[in-house]
Amino acid sequence: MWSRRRFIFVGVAGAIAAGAVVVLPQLRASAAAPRGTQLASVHDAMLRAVMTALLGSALPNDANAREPEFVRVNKAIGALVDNLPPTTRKEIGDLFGLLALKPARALLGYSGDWPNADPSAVGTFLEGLRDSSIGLKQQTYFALHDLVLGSFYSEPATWPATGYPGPPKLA
Amino acid sequence: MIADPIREGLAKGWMHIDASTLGQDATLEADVCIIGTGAGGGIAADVLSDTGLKVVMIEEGMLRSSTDFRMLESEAYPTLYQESASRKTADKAINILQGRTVGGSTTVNWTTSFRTPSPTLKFWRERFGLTELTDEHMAGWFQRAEKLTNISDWAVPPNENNAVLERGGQKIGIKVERIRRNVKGCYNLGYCGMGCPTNAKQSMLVTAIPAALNRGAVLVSRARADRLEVKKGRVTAVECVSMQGTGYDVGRVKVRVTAKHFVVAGGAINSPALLMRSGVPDPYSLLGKRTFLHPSLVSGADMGSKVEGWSGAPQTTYSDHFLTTQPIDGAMGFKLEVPPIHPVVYAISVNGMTEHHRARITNMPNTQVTIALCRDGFHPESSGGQVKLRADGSPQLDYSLNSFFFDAAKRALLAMAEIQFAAGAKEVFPVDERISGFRTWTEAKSGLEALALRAYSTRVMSAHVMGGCTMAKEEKDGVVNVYGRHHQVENLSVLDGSVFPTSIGANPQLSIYGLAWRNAARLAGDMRRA
Repeated sequence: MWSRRRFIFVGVAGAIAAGAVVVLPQLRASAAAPRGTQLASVHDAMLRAVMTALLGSALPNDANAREPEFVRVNKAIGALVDNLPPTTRKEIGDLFGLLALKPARALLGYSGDWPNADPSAVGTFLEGLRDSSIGLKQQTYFALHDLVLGSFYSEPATWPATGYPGPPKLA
Repeated sequence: MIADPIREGLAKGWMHIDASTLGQDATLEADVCIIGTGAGGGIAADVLSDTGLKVVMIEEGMLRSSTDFRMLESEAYPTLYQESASRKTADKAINILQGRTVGGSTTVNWTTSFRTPSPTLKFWRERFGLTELTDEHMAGWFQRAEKLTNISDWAVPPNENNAVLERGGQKIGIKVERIRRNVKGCYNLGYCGMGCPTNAKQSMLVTAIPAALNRGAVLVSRARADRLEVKKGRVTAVECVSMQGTGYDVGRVKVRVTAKHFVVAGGAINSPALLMRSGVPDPYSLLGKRTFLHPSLVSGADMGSKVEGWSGAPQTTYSDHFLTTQPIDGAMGFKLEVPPIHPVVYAISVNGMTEHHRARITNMPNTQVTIALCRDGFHPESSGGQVKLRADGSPQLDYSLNSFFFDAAKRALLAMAEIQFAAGAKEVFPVDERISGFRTWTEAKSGLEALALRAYSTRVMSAHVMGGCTMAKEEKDGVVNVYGRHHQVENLSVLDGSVFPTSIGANPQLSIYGLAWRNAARLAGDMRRA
């Protein structure tokens, strides 16, 4: 039987020894991966346009009432992306970067601007991505779709309209 | 107030190290180091510690327990699942649900418990030389696991979501049966997928892992096994990196574990990836190949009355009709089950956008969902996917959906629509972006038959990742032998779902428990004699 005391001793002594002699291979990459919160904030105008197109009447009609919704979903998207591996964060960063460049997004099917975008033009753009036979375009659609809709409906305030009562109360 | 056995155990003095909080590097020594704490690692820790061996468990995820399980998707997915429940295949056509927490997928699964089906074991005996794996031989191991995790018949009537599958199946004359569950004193809440808040689910988190910790085993959470150090055909140590916060960024602290024997149980995808990063010999280029997913199709239905698929035991009925009525190595068969319905996962899974999407989600209470899990890996045209490493060493599963799969997908979507209409659906919407919905079975039949299913447009999901470290008698056919021991590296075992030579054709938790138990018991005996 081994003793707890001995184990802890090995742990602490070993820690010091390892720190001195063990050289691990340099941990790879992850430095270039952007933070989700930063990405969501930089690309706020694009995300607002996509939210408006994807969510439609799920958002309040009144512009003033929409504002906190945009802020909330933007924050939730940032938090979601922050909990993804660096490679995925980088992919999302690249995708958002592409959508920020007018010539690049024109190739994907939208040549308008993001601030004050026409929701129906953005909707047509998203449908084009979704219905395309090109895998990369479809991936773009689903990435935006999942980020926006998942983040929107993670908020308890959106549940009453869906008929979902939320989790039960436990005694 | 519900007691939290994990917090109580920690207060009592269990040895748990959260590597994300370590101020300096650490070295541990053990008889056996187990990497991963899911279905395979949990059982291995219990069985090996029970024979007096010193066990250290390494887990990349966090140690979370009932007090933390607040039944919220926004908390559960980022903290309990791989890649926030949005892990994807390389081309992003399949979303994969896999656990990443102490207890692994057993902490978040839907409690569905099946023994490995006989035809699957028969196929392994015939094609992979696993001649010992008969139903009779495995029965004893399954019984042990069933006792530990309290797998038993579930006497409560199915919720309406599951009742639809039962009713519709009976109407069209196919057999629908009840699912056994690993629960004790279940409140029938419906939130198994977010971690059981009442500890009713007898997952590894509340059974095998506490048993090992009570015997003095050490648990290191928030540590990712980066590589095994292999020298002269033996593993000498595993080098781990600490993880920061709740996410995926690697911290500065390193944890090194030396041991006599190493058990890899990181689950399919992560287990083969660890062996790849470590440069473990792979003379027949088998590592990471034959990775299976039970790629699954989804069919929604508006029942016109309350279903409330979020409430009640999530999976209680199933049909194997489309698995058992055709040869295992012929056209791909599929198992029918029902998933729980919660807002985030439903919002992401249902097709359409804007007003169409809104109409679907505001009808969530009346919505029933059926899923078809395709049995991959039994036919030359279903050889599974391949795990590869990205430049940063992280794993990625390349799994292509071919015409052989889409043939099964078409049959599956047709079968589900027929069942849903038979059960009284007002509208059925097989989840494909090009289908807005069908009002009658005739309409669904002609609509589906006319549609060429394809990746992305047709939604495909997976909650069962298997294979990648194939178990086979001969070295040329497998990464590990019939006891999960690595064919080339003496003191290395793989004891998780990654050893399955095909998919299971059923939810895999009990298959993993049974096989891991058998192989861990064998390992304990080998170590005693050594």
